[in-house]
Amino acid sequence: MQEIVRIVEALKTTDEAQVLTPANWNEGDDVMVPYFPYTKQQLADNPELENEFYNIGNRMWFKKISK
Amino acid sequence: MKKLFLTLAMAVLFLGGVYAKGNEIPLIGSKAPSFTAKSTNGKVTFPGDFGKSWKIIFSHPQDFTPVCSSEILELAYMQNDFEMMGVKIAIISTDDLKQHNRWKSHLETLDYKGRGKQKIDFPIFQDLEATISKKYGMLHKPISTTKDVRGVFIIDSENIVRSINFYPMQVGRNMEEIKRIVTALQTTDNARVVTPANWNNGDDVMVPFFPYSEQEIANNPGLKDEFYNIGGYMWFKKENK
Repeated sequence: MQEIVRIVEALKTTDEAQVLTPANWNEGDDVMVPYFPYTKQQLADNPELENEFYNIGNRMWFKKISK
Repeated sequence: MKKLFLTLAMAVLFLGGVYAKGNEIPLIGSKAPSFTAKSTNGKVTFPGDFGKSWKIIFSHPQDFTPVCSSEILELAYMQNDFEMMGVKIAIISTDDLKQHNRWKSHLETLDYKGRGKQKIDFPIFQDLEATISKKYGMLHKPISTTKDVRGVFIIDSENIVRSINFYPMQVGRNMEEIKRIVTALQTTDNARVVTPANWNNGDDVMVPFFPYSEQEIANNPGLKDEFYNIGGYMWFKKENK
């Protein structure tokens, strides 16, 4: 039943913010973003953005949840 | 004219029937539909080329997308676990083989969650015309008519569908849960037992009937220590002796 709870939490999380949940995700884990998370302009305006995201390869971008 | 209309109507009905049939989900207990297609491991026939192994078919929406990438990587790290369980994996999407090969090479360069780079041994099948996807009901029309949802078909050594899961596009599958289901199915097949809710490998299992007769317990009093009950209907068999 934990898996059912996990799916509901994942669906609610992805509905609320524009994010995705990776394989084996559990509540509190980092989420994924479907696109490159910021433009150069956005980063120039707010350099902090860089600390909120990280990537694995150039296709998988994660948003940090546990700060 | 009327006859022509009638013929047309019949043809539409017939084709509609064929189309609907081609989009059905094979149900638990049914024979796994077979197919032959190009894959990252060459041209492969399913289930024939997978022999007497258990098999899991995974479908995903699109190569190179983030959630799909995380799933293939998790599966790649679990390859040995599945092999030890006698399970072979097949991956399907409606992308073409060239894209599959590029994606596979890309994923093999990544170090995901500090586990190092990992080779991908299982085949990723091309399904450009969605023929396989339709045989397995992987296209869920309200969401997409061209991209598969995240399907999971667990198929046993006799090629019978034993478990079906479908996950939405945004949510990555829990590969530990898939492994749990396979272990549970193999456990219940091997002994005449059933697995309770939230069961994990090593936990006590349940027995479908009262576990022993009075005669049996008289002959072997030790039996009593092997089982316990919760109420009159739930009988458990101890696994950790």
